[in-house]
Amino acid sequence: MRHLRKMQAVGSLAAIALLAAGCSTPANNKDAVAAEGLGTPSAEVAQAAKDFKGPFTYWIGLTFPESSNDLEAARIKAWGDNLGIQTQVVKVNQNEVVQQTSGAIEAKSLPSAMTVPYDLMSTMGTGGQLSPVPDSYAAIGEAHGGWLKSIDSATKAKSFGGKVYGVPFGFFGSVLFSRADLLKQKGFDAPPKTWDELLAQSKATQTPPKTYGMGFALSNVLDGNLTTSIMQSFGGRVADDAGKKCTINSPETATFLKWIKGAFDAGQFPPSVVTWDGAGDNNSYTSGESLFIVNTGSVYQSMKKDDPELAKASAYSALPAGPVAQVAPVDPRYRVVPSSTSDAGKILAQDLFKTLADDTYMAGFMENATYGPVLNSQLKYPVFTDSPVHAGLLKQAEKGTAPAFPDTANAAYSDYQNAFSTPRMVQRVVVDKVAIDKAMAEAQASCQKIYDQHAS
Amino acid sequence: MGLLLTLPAVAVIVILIGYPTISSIWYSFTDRMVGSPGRFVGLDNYTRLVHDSGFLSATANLVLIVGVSLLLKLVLGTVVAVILNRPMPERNLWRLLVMLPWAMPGFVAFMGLRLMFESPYGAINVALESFTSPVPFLSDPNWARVSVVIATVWRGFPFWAISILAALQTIPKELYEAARMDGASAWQQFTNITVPQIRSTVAVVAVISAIWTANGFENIWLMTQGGPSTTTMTFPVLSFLSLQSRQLGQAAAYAVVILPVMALFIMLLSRRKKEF
Repeated sequence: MRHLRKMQAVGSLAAIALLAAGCSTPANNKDAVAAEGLGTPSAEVAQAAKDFKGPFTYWIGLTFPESSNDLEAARIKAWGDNLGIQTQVVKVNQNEVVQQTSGAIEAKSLPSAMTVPYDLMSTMGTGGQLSPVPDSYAAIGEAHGGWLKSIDSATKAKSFGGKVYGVPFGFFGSVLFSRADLLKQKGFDAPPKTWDELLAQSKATQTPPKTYGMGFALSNVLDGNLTTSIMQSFGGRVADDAGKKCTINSPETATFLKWIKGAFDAGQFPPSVVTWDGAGDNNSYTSGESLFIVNTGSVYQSMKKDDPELAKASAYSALPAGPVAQVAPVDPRYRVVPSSTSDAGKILAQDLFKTLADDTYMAGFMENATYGPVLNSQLKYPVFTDSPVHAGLLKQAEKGTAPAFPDTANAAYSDYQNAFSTPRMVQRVVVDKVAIDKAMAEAQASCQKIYDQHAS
Repeated sequence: MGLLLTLPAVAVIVILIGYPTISSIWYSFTDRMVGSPGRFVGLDNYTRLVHDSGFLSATANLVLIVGVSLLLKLVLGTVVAVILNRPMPERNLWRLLVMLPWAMPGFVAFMGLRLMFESPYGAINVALESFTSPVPFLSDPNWARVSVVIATVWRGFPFWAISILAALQTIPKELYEAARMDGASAWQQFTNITVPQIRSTVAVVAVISAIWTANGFENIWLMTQGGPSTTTMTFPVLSFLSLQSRQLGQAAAYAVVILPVMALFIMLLSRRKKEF
């Protein structure tokens, strides 16, 4: 009996030791990456650190997996510790960043610095809520081999009036995931190049109610805005070139609506797409329900961990083209400084941006997070050759379309997208069965209201 | 001196209730967006509602979802309260268990229900697999309304049950004994003793529950986001969607337009309270 107890005790100790070893190795590695390249601060930054009052708050947009968020938080903490300032990292769900930021703007409680999607940078920048950061943008670009062309032109969009409101650190792209294993059985050896090809492959391969072809959200979530890109690839436009007058109500939009209604009525979409939440496509694909989804890459990260066989059985390719164009928007993510941040805070924020752009750190960060590259130095990160999804993002960095293309990227366009206007128009047609003309007229009216508000 | 003593309470009401309410009403007459003051646009935000399919759905759902939910909560709450009022083994444990849906965070409750209602792989569809093809609980317009009502009732009925149970326990047992001696049946005892004795409680609970359900956001947003299309749309969700595109004026209009209905509920509640 005593012998048994002894064995149990030894076993428990061994288990604890193993656990400790298992936990400490990645933690040490994380800490090492987080502290990489933190040197002596410049005199200006050291003085700003002395003058700065209160904790330095930074909002990071949550991404998948959690380890990348933790790494970012650790890096910010290490930077703060190096300067002797207290930091506070707040993780914000990217689906809720607009509401949280809107609340903070109204309550005048924006953080010292934050990460935002392109849309939000656009609305905040032109609304006077961001402090321009042209010098940091130029310095970081120069230190890392220059900005990629598509990112540079998006950052210096005409609607920003020559101002640079943020420092990009990566972009979300749209990758078409397809079940290559099942499609191959039906004789489709390559991913579809056009939306019509995709529809044909879907029709030939799906076996409802077990599998459906088109796992694209048509609900009131950000994923539903893929419908705007499809509409644009059919020649539909949200607004005119001046970015002032809505042009939703057009023959091209009608063609797109006919196409999507045809596919929906033919049972190509899983029926639940009209009420999917932000994880709807992820769940549908990983459960084997959908043959095609469009995703930023988070699904690949979860498959790599939980279902490597499915990850291997999938193909990853660019978004298909429509009859008029191929629209595959690059959606850069930015680090920005609210104009409400104190002068010392602005200096610190820009120093933090430089710290976060460090290549050793970013290579570690991108290893997990599914961001595409924005700087030339990032092109050499091993992840962009090792991971098929990252490789797809690398291609998209070169060939993808600018945010909002072919429309004009401005605050009104962002708010049109934030209101889920296109998926709501699609729902009117496929769920409520209203006439296409009526759905377009309704969308046109609500779109114009948004654009008018920005014009006034 | 009396007036002076009421000042703190008045200040709290003005700051926490008066200011936000008046601000919302004012915003609803402007085209205010997040971060900009906006201009006075008169009734523009309201006239738009007439042509807004979301507004029409939300109005219909104020009757459908709120009305049907209240009725079902009343029936279920009363039945459960009557059962829990009877002697039974482990009665306190049962009372505790009945409270669980109401006690758990709304997010957990509605996300859990959403997963159960999912088609085709939600728990309910899996359970029904042998009997029927997958039921589109959340994507079919009619089923979506039914699912939202079921979820709302499931989460809300414990409040009814426990309130009615409290009322039942205040009814003197002598009333039932006298009725039994007079030969009253169980049904007659229920309609002639129980119902009149709990009526005031039910009325108050109904008004409070109506206000909560009409203002409920998480049940709709987590289950259907107001969809499919606008089938399960409600005023709080419409307001939220306008905030999503930073249109504070329009969002305020959606919130203000429901105020008369809320005011009516509150008047009914005040009248009931006076009766106590």
